[in-house]
Amino acid sequence: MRHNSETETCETIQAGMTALLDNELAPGEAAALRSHIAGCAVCAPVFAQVEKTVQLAHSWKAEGADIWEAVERRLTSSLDNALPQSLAPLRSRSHLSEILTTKRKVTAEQLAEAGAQATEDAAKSAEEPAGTINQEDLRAVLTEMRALRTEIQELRGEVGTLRRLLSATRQAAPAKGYRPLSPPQLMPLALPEDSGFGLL
Amino acid sequence: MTTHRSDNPFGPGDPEQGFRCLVLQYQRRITAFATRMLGGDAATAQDVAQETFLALWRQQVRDDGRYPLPDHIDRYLLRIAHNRCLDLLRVRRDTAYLDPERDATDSATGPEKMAQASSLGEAVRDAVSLLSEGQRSVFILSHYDGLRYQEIADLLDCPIGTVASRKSQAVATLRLLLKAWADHDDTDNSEKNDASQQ
Repeated sequence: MRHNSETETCETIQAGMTALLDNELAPGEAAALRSHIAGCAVCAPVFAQVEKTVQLAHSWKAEGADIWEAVERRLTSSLDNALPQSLAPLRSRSHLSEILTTKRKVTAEQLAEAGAQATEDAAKSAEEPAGTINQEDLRAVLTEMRALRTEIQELRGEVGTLRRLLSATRQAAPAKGYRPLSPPQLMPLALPEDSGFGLL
Repeated sequence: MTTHRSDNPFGPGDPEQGFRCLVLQYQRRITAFATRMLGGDAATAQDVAQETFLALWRQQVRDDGRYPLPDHIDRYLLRIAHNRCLDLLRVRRDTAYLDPERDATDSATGPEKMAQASSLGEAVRDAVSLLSEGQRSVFILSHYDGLRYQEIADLLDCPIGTVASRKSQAVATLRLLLKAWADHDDTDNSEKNDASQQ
């Protein structure tokens, strides 16, 4: 008959078998485990099964896949992905075009940053042949900035109109007999009975 | 003034080329990992892998390549892929009852189901898919990706003792689930040995 302490020892040993196979134990621990397993009628077959299981698990072959083409497609088709790349050196006309044709996602700040970067680049490489430093792109960015500024001004105008309309509606409401509930009418309902207000 | 790190492929020069090299280097490993995490669903695993790399791209371009890449980019990618896989698995689990093709009559689970698998690889796949999320993550990262326990602990943000415990539990569960295949394999081997002795 096996004693409880022996059973506990075997449980501990069996819990460490995987770590033993993974070479995760300190040399002393590993030696102690191997020594126990070699002389234990309970742990030896369990260890053999664990080894077997680990070996069988290698039978599942999951093939990796080449995904660069798909990643690249998504990279160039998404403005969110293409935008930062274009903003870096403004080196590619195609990337700039992508920004300009999907301007709804491009903020004025981003365009200003791009323009500043392009100006800096142009100043640094003034000796390069014309066209390589995207002077044309710079002009396009500035044009776009102007267009965006106009849009912003228009939107500001619309917001102002809406504000005036709202204000006029508020002022006109009492004249049509509409009386909004005032706070004193609502408060007693939310207060406890002993608050001194009583219920209306 | 932006300062770029020379060791960051997303820095000045051609960030897209640096990114391409990185994807080509790790794409197969990340897709294989995601495939295992998703129980063999290779198509979804490819989507997960794409998202993983694009997440890295977005982060790096957002930072304009100013910061060095994580020390162990493979583990960094594995962590992103792992989190995405867990999100997917949780959605699947929460919506499994809505699946009209779900076979309610398929009552075989556990060792019986593994024994019915048409191949050992399929049986292992099904058995690993039956592990809890924690055990499955640790088992796959350790057994198939070859990460050390400490590396897995860092990746999963858990103590190393938890990793050791989950790995041990995972193997114990697999031992039960694959018992029929192990016995079958032992029988085959003993028959081969007998034949060679004769």
